[in-house]
Amino acid sequence: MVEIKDLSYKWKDGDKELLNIDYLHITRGERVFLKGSSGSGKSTLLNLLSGMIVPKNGTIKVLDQTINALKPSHRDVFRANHMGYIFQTFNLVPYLSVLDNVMLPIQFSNERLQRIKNTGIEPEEEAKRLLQVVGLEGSDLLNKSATELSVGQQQRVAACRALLGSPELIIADEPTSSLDEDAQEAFINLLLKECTRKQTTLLFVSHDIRFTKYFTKVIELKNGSIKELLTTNIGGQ
Amino acid sequence: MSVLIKLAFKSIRYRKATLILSLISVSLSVVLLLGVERLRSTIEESFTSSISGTDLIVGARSGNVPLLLSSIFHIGYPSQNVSWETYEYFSTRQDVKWSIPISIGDSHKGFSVVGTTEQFFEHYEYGGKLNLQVNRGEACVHGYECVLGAKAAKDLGYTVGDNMVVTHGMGHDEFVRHEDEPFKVAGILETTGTPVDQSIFVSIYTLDAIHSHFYSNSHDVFNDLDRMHNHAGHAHHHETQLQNPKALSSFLLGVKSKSSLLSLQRTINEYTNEPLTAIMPVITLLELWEIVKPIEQTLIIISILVLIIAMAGVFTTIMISLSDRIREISILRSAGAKSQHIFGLILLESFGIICLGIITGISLLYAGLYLFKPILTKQLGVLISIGWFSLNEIFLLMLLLLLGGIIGLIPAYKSYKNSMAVSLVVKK
Repeated sequence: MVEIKDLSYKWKDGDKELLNIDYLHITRGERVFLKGSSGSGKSTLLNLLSGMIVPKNGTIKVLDQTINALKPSHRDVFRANHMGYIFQTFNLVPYLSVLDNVMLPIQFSNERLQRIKNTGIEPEEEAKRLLQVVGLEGSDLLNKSATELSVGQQQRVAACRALLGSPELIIADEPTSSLDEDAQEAFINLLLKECTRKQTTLLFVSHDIRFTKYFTKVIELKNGSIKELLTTNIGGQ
Repeated sequence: MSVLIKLAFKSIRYRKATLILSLISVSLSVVLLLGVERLRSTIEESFTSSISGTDLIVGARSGNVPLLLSSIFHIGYPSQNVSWETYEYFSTRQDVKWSIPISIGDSHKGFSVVGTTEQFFEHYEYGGKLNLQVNRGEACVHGYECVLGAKAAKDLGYTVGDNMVVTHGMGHDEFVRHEDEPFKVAGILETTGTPVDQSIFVSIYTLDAIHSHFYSNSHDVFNDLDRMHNHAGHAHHHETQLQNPKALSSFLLGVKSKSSLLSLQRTINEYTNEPLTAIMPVITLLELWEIVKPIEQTLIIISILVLIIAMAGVFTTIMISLSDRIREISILRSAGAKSQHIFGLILLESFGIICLGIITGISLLYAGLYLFKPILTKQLGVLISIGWFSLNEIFLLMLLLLLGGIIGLIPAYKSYKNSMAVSLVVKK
């Protein structure tokens, strides 16, 4: 699913290397917990994986596609089709309703739209189903402006958006850090449940090691290098 | 594309509080620009068509512009008169179709009194070959009857059948009143938007008779006053003893065939019995308008400057808002929007605001025109046209759209660049 080889990255020539990863492999369907404090190169790694930036050296393969070899616009299309992204906070477009926010990815990705249609379900029904799974329902709420929601609700909407249209990889960048403890637990469980349902690979970034028990692989990023702390063989590819 | 339009629309709606100010400033400047242009073209049109259908204006030797000003616009006096014999000589020529004698120099409460004949109402044309129309009464200037222009009638409060007294000399100072010669209003003309509106038409024969009555041989103001007292009691009419006037200020000619126009003009200009000037009104009107042109251009330039300032305001608002939108842009990018999408979105929003401003401005302008048209016509005698856009206006609108496009391109390009470099990991 994800394969990184001989990767090194620095902002400018002559700068200190921010990231130096010899090898990282993530199997399809794996749930990966990435532990990394600020300054560990975590942001850089996520930007590289999502194709926002490209490395000078090394290769990054996602779904057997070497994304750093793609043209910028193709990387954008690839990201739209195959990746869901959840931010730490402020996930929603303020001027769109809850439902519109969830539906946003399929406005830009035909592939994700088609995937929903292939299941025989209308896109809007699928969006509503996901929202219902995370405990958000009722036309009042769905038509609310995104800014009227609580932080917890916003994060759940963001999760639905990332999941809609079943992208193969979901990157969640400290999605729980703005939630209180009970909500954190519930959020992770919902996310994992949907990911399992659709065989989605999850890259979950956090520094809260209490949650490592839910994941099949735990890796730590320290000074730009990856250290594997735990790998449970889940079979697969 | 339709996604972007939807997004842009919702984004504009979300930011309406700040954008409405931009919208107002754009629309008001559009009103100003198009309004000034509309007014300018209306005034130019009504000015340059103050007289049409008349081929030549003939007066005593003078400059072209002074002759036009005095005979048509009633501004200033001709320094010399033309003798009646000369008028008769030219008006009876083979190639002349019609002629209108004009005698000016008198006024009534600030409105100029024009001595002429009924030929005036028959042949005088303005605008696109429009004849003078009678609103009330009839266009009759026999004897002591007079015909009023629309504005003169309205301002003086006269109606058909009223009596009025003519004063010698222009302006309000009634230093010599022809008080024993009261005129009766026979008719009132329709509004034309030309100097005709502000004129009072009387018979040139009667006017001359009054003058010869007053200024016969040894003229003494005190005697005049005495005589005015003596005459006060009885009505005094000259109708029975009317003679041809000795002189007139100028005359208008219509030719039978346009091909003889230039030779006739030369003949008149070279007439040896009396020094004369013959002008073609259309040409001289344009000459006159050239004098006014710098003023109208200044007006247009000022309104364009106002518009540029308004556009600069919109530009600033959009540029400032961009820094607040980095977060939103990275959300859109994470949800699959390409950099090109971001470019399109910002361009659509900026351009959308400017277009909305233009549309609002045009609607405001037309609403204003409909609302103020009666007032403009009544108060200023300006017949503003509420038609489709003129070529000039379409050009200005194109210029506006182009400017709007350029103004939209800069923030769009900036956010495009930003969105390429935007990190999906934004700490906030």
